[in-house]
Amino acid sequence: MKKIMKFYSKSGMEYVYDNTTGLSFPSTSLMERVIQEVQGNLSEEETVERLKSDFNEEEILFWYNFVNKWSKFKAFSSTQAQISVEKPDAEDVKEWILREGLNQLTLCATEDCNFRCKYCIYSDNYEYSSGYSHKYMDFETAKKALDHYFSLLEEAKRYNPWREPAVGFYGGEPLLNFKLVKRCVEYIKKEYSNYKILYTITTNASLMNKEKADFLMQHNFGIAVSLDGPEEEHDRNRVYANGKGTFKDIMKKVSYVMEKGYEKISSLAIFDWKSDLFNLQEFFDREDVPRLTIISVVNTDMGCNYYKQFSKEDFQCHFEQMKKAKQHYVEYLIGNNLKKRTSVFDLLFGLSAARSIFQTPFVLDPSPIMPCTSSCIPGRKLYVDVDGRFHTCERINKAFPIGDVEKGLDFERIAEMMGNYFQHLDSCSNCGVRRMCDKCYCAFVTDKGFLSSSQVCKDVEASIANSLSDAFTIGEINPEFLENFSSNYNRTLKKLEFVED
Amino acid sequence: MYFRLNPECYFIKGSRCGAIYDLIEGNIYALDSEETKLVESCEKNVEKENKILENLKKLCLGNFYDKRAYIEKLRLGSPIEESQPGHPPQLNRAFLEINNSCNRNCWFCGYHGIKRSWGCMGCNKWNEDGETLTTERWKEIIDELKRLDCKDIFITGGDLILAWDKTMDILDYADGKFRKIYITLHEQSFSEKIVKYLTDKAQPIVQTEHLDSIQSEDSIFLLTVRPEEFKNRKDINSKKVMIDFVSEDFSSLPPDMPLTSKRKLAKESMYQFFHNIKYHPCIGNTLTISHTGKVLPCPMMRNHVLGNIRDRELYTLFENGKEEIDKFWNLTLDNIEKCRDCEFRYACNNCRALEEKLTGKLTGKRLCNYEPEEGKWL
Repeated sequence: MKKIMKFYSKSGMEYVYDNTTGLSFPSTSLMERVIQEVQGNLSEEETVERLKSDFNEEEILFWYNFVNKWSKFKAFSSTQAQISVEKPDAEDVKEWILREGLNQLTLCATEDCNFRCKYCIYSDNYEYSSGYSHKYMDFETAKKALDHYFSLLEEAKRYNPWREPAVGFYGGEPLLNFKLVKRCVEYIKKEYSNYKILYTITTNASLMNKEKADFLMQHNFGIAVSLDGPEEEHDRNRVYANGKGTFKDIMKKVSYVMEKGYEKISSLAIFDWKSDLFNLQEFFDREDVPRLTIISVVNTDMGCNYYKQFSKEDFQCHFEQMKKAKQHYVEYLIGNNLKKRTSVFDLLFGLSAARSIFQTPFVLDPSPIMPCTSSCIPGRKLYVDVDGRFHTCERINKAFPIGDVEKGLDFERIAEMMGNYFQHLDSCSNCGVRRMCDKCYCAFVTDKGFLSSSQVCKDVEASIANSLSDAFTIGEINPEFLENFSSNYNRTLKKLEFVED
Repeated sequence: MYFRLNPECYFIKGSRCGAIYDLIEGNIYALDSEETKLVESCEKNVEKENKILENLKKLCLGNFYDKRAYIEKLRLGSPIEESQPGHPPQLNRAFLEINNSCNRNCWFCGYHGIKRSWGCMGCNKWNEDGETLTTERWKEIIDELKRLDCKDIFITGGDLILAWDKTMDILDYADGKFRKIYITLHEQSFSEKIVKYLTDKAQPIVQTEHLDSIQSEDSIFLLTVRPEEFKNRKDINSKKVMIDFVSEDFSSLPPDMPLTSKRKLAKESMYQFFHNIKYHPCIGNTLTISHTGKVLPCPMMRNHVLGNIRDRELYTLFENGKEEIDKFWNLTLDNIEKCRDCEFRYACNNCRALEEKLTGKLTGKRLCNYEPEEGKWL
């Protein structure tokens, strides 16, 4: 089984990624040869003897000592630990959740929406997702969810007194049920005034009139607005049910908040293969546009059919544009540092590069409860659907509830879900890039269960090699940029009080 | 050619000189000012070739590359994950002072106001009033510490033998709940029965002035020594012996003392290194709960009371007192006089309690013979 993966930066520098430590190292052909000899338990003298006809002795000694040093962490080993597929203990899961979880309660205020965005997860483009409905969460359900959340927080503060809990509102379009949002906030103020709660809302902003905007600002909401770019970009996909564009209406509503100087408003953008990335870059640099905090391509999970509408030429055009944009960005980084305002290209290329390197947990063993993939432990946050069922998050369909507002969070159910999930990770034990995996449940769920990792993880090594290549290219040009980017980005999120997944 | 340090080697700069920390071997290499400037520019990807760099390569601390390389540094965990807000406090150690009574009158006891370099590991009686916590309250505190994921506990006193039934009750309750339990007893308090009882339950720390009174193969010894007598002690050469220097004022110290000389620098594990970058090497992630329920950063810092948990749960102190706790936990040596200019600051321990007593300042520093401005040991 091959565990050491090679990749190259744009300058041609060769690196190897080691999955045991999660680190990448500059490498040479000699290093690879030495690794083989060390794996074969050859001594220093034997290694020199074997390789001296092809390589300089001083170089051999250096790499021998280097590989031996790192063997203390089992780096460059030809084997790696197998993943346990045992169902975790429900008590361990509960303790983890009380200590590290419960970071946010998100209420789905309604499944209704006044938009019909072409890429929406509720649209017909997603096989495993339910469609739009006209269901609205009633206050009784919300109240029970809040009561349960706060009772868990009461117990959990003994495990983590430094938790910063958040209550978020989602949809559909949550402002369609603004009455609920108001009642919930007022209920929390009255019954749970001893908690400092961060409020968030993800909205299309079309209904954010003065009254609603004032309420949100008064209660310090982190307001995340779905905004895809300048008018022609945004209106291509984000339309009312009658097909009319929504950009002008949104910008009018957003302007009211921006002119008030309210800082906790941000943009979330989606792009697809027809998007003009340079136009997006220019648009989100504008001071009158809420700061961009997330930009992502249309979701490919959940049985996605969205991309069937595009031709090969569309993809090729998009691919070329991404290449050009990346090149432009990397050239900018030579001698330049972070701008004050995070740009589209910062998020597309800079953040992903920083994450390739700094998201991976180095050296330490992963949590025994979640030994691989980036899936969270359900309960890290709680998503409540309109009917009062708890789910892992808003992106997972309703096939995997983990409790409800009547009976509460079901730790045994969570443990079973995790055990079922682990059973499907058939290729993870042998995966050469396991530490870097960024796949979560979304990639594996169907409407009936989980896909296996051998079905989901195609070409994953090549994809990660690409990401590392980009990251190390940037690192070679401007190492401080990478090291500062993720901490600056996190500071921005904190300032916006944006709760990131 | 570009010379870069290996991923496991960290270059730390002082005001004049620098040091290379090899986090895998645990070694620290001191650099003079010329070497420091050279390594610093190499780490900024300036092309250099030099005999000094070749020597560093021979020591397997770095290598030459024909192109600019990105050297991903050895780290622990995920820096992005760790920077997310709302993580639980990382409580590594808790000292539990079960009692405050003792019939001895040891010259080195905290009761006399004498200064100790490792007093936290020893037993002390204090000139403090107040009702001792009950066994029931201690058991609740054990549970509270467990919920806060405290790793190790240190049970100490007074003379625990004067409250031995209580101590055993607490120890039996704590058994198995922590990574490690330590217990400090005066050497005269040890008996075969006690040694047998403690086996597999708690690691004894024996407070002693004489190493010839070995009670158990497994014990750690806290040897109390006056600084002026240190050089004459030939029996101190064991990993299991911690030396507690005791003095009225620590003036006129002999040269080459472990407290002040190069010997204070420990072979450094990478865990300790990363800990020291974020936290104080000793009081970081540590709390003490006194016999009356006062919570202190350290058993020897009696004037810094973070709160009292006689009638409230320990977590409430964290809930309302993060800033106050961080003031001690986050007191890295970057914040200490003189240390902030020293390239060895992440390999050095210091006792804040002792330094504060000697200088009158929480960030004061007296016990060090190294002058970072000159790059010399005096």
